[in-house]
Amino acid sequence: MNMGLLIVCLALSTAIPRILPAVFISRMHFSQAARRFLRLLPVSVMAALIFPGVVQAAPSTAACLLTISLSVFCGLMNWPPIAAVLSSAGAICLLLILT
Amino acid sequence: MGLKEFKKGLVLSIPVMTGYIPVAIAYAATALSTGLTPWQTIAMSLFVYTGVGQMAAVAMIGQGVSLAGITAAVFIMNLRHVIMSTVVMERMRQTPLGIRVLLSLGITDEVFALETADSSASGSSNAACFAGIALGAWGSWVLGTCLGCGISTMMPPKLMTALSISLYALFISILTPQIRRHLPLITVVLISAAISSLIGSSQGIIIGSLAGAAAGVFLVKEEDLP
Repeated sequence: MNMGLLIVCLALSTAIPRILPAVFISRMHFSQAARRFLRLLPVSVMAALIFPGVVQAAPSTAACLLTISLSVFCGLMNWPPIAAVLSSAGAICLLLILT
Repeated sequence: MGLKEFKKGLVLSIPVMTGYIPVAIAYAATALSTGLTPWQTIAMSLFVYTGVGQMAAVAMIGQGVSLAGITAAVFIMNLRHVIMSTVVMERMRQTPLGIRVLLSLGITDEVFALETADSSASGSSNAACFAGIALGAWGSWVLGTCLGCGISTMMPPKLMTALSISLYALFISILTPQIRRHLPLITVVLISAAISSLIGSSQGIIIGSLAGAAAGVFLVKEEDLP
């Protein structure tokens, strides 16, 4: 995949939603439902990505469950995201070494 | 000419900076472990500049999703910027068009939250203050990415391969506090996850996320996210 092209496409896909209201401010009106829908999208996209993804990427069921539990724990403790990244990576490393 | 307001904006953005730097470091670590080069990783932070969008893109690159699929999914995620930009631009009608366009590129969830909470007078002073906030946030995001790339080169290879699954750990650790604060979101999460898993690949991601968000319009009350 051409990464340069991807970055250009992603840059545009982010810039355009930001710029449109700056240009068309006088004509933008959104219903309550529309606002709610758009604000829910990041959560739903993340959920849609996480669950098939973590099952696919995990070397074993144990690794999958371990990652999920560790990161839910880090999230509940309100630690910065790097904590979840490092702890689950470390745990999986250990798992790979032990099995 | 607004320099004082600009500096005030920079100072205001410090809490955002302290949030962005660790997340950017985590993003860089997982991007590198998925196989992106440091330049590509940093270029994404410079030119794309969305936390969740960049991380989702990296996850999809790892899953082998097509360029069109990744762009579509990230674009859908980015649509909320239209709302946030509308709100911000509403207060900047007097600002010249060129400056408004430039400033709009700095709008993120956190910058938006800060800007709408800060209730100082409208007019050109507001634009300068916003510029300070936006620049501080963007700068710290890029800086954090660079730091993350630097740190990652010092890590052993076994850890790097384990990091590729921990991209999902990153997502989960970001999602969990949000769900804990707004429990009804769990319905959105479950619907999106279920549909996405059933359909599979990039179509599944897009259909699942649209369905989850649509369900949320009816099932979630105004306790959703800012």
